[in-house]
Amino acid sequence: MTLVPVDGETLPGSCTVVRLAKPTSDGALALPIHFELSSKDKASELKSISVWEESLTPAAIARTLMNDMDNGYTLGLSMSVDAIRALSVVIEESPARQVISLDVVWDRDCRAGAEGHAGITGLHRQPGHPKLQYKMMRSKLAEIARPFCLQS
Amino acid sequence: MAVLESRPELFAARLNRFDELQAYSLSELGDINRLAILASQKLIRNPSRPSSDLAFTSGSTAVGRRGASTRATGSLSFKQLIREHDAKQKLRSLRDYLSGCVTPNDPSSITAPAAQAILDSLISAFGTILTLPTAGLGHNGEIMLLWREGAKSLEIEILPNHTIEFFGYDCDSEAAWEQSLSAGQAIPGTLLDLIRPFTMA
Repeated sequence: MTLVPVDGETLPGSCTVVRLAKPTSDGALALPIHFELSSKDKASELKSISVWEESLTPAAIARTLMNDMDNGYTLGLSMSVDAIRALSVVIEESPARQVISLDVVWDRDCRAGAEGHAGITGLHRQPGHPKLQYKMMRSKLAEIARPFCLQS
Repeated sequence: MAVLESRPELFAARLNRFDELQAYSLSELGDINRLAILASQKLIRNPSRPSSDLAFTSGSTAVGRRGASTRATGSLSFKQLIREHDAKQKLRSLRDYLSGCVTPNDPSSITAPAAQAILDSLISAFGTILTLPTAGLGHNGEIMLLWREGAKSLEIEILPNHTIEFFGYDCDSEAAWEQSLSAGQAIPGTLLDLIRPFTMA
């Protein structure tokens, strides 16, 4: 399958994306904290967490693109797009019952090698929504992520 | 027990040389054979506990007095020693990890010491029955302490704005609770009760 990333469009469900994070005190484990939006993510238009489609931008390349040879993002968290899309939480407390689900969309990065840049949307808390369901969503992501180590 | 039978000279050499404290610090070296010897030594040194009364499990996960409650007799369970040894190692690596999270002029310089303080509060509340968490660092310098017990998990998230968020979640039933504190605020008893399932109590 040839992937042609189009900014803002969804990734095929068969794709695998990788989130880079710092290792935990117990080594390569996926923790919910790894799926928190950074200040930069919150300020961006897409309001998504940054991930990389593994066939277009392997994790090691993604790490160099993050200028991270010192910061220690040596933990890769691999997830299938289909599995991400299958996750949802229900917010009962909002004016009407609402189901929050996640998606993965291309997030254009013009640098060479960064074609695989994408974002997981749906993790940014909407005004008036309780925190609880978003924390549940992060926990669910941590459950499906397959951790692996990158060479430091 | 195989260790004692195959290396009696080690056992004999160490007999009467170490007290419990020294035995414990040796156990930190991670030499399980030595730990076994010293655990046994502690039992044998007490004349009220003849060696014939010791239950050595070959292969071996337990050293203790046959037919007697470990706590009641004051004898030392090998399993208990190993557990303490593992817990002490894990606590040390957890503290090292949290210290290593600190980057000057970064939010982690606030969150890492606060995480240490929370951990210390929990250790003083629960003592050695506290199961030690996994710690992780987020992209904004937040620190999470995470306990998992089957389908249940407990997250303590230490945020750079001096807030500490507690979140309990059961992924089977999807039941969840949350509570927040300010850094430095004592952990209320009601919250400790919610943390208790993640101890060995």
